[in-house]
Amino acid sequence: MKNGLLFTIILVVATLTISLVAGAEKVTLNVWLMKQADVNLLKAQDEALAKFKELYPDIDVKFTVFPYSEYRDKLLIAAAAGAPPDISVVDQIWNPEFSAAGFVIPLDDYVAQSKSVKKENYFSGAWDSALYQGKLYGVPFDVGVWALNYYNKAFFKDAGLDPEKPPVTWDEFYEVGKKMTGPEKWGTALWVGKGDAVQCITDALTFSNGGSVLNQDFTKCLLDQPAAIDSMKFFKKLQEINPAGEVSRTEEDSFQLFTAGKLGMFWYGEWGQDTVTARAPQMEWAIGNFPKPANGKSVGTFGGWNMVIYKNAPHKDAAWKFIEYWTSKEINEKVSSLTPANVEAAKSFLNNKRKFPDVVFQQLTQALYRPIFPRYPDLAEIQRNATTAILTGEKDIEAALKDATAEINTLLNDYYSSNK
Amino acid sequence: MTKEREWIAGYLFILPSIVLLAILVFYPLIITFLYSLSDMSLTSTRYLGWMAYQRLFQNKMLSLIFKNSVIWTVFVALFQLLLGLGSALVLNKAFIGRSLLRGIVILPWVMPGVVTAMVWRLIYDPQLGLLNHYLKALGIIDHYLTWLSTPSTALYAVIFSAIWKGFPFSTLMYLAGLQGVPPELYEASEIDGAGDWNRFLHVTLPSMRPIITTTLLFTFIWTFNYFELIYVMTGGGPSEKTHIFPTYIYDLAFKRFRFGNASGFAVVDFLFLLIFSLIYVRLSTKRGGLE
Repeated sequence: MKNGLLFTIILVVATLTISLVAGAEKVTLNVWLMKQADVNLLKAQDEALAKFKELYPDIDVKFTVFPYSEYRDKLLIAAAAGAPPDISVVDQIWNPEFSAAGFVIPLDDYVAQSKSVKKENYFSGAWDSALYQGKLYGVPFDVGVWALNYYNKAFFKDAGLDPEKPPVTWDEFYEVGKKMTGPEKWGTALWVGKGDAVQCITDALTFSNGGSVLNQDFTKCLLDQPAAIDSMKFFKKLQEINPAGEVSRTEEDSFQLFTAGKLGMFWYGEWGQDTVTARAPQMEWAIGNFPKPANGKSVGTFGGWNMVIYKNAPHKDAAWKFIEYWTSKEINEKVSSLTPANVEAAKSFLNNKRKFPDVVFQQLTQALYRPIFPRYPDLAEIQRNATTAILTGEKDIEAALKDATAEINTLLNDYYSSNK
Repeated sequence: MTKEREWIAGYLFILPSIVLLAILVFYPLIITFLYSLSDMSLTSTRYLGWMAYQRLFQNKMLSLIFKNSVIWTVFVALFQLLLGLGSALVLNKAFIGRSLLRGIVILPWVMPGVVTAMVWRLIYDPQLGLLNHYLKALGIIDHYLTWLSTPSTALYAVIFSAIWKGFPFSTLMYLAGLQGVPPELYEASEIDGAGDWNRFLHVTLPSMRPIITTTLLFTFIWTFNYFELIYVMTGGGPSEKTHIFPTYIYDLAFKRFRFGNASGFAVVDFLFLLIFSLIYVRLSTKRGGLE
């Protein structure tokens, strides 16, 4: 009996010691991602993760997921409280804020030594979105482009137009839309919504017209220049072919009008394809490029997510290994719900999972990123208010953009003067 | 018990309340005031001192929010008073189905605010909404109006919904008040030859003065601080035309994490409400309470 007790104690102590030693060697990475609903995608993520653990038996990875609506709040609060994950994805437009606050670390040294993470392997617009003051603070994970021109072929036939020839220029878009507009149906539907998505549309119009939101070093606003003014004139003109109420509509409300068969054309990203198929299985639809001014170029606005490593992460090298793996061509293609940021992975993804892959790919390669500025959400809000004022007719276009430019310049000066 | 011990015992008895008040009321107040002197956000903090207030008063949002809040509060409180008083007078008369109607009339008030807001959003919807449908059917409008996305109509549209939502509280209060008017006063006035109007003006109203003052004050304070109806119906838009203090402070603090700036607005909001609270305290202590 006594011996039995002694034996048990020895056994327990030995087990504890072994597990402690083993535990000390095993590294755990906390990774925060966006919540995904697609079962196949979750399965692919699990498989990819299992393979990673085979490759690196000493690294354990723990995923925590959040829905988009909560994601930014959770990340910012955790980072500000000094308890962030080791790795997370961040929206491109949050990356500068996280970089400037020192929440995440520059990755240039890792990239310099990496075989797979190289600038040329990713869409340049996505890569550049992770740059802040000359350093790279994130590796692009997935991308999207606002916007493509979704169109309902039935509207073209009803208007006596060729459904294989979607409008290319702004003028054509307006004229076609006008022919489609009638009782209870419209050429397109605009929206302003509450978030920072509508800026992607207005920015894309300005980009296509050769303009920009800020100058090259992001210190001065250019929205009062002719390129932006003309693009907003076109945008406002589209009110004539659009159901009233766009200011309080969200992108989702307008998207529903399209899938309900009320709109001839609708601007949305390539990720909307599955939704159209699911909601309107009978609809004959196609995708064309985002319309451009007569002598301009069809340029969309980049969106997407970058992977970052937090300053507080105790095992940065292990974290880098995971990022290298997760953004590699082979894995990126499988675990991404949006188009992968890795160009080769994107080609294969678009060919397998999207219709009109060539149009989407072309639009992605020509897309530009939004201004890189740590207080981007404030900047976007000023832009959205200007768009609202223009659409409601509260201010004329020049005045609204002049006011917005002055406000944005104040914001820029205020930020740069206190964060040198 | 000596005087001194009595004194100590007294303070011991109120100590729990004081501690609770200190934690739940005074601490947040002081902290908010301190935050308001900085430009605190989640990523950085800079102490600005009084400069923060100088900036706040130069901020054109402050005057806009203030204007919106005053229009919103005055219209909502005033019309709740008129509608409440009117409906109370009707419901005070004897007629068949009065009990049923008294029950039905409080429905808007017992409905959750968020539900009310969603319902009214649908009513105002330009394409699907009942309002446009009926106005068009009656020939009053020839095209659909966008009530909640037109800057000139949005605030009044939410005001209308808020009046509808809140007036039953006033009805209940005034109905109770009406029942408390001594019948002999009416009898006396009748003998003196007063008509309906004179009776209302010289008997009903003066007897109900205390209850009207209290109810009006309450609806003022509640309306000034009312959040969910506006937030769900318009989110403060279009062009911030429907933002009032609570919705704007919420946006600043919890959407944009600009705690410093949000605290500044909260301090102004607090001072404004303090005035109403002082009026209330004064009324309730004068002449032995609110009668």
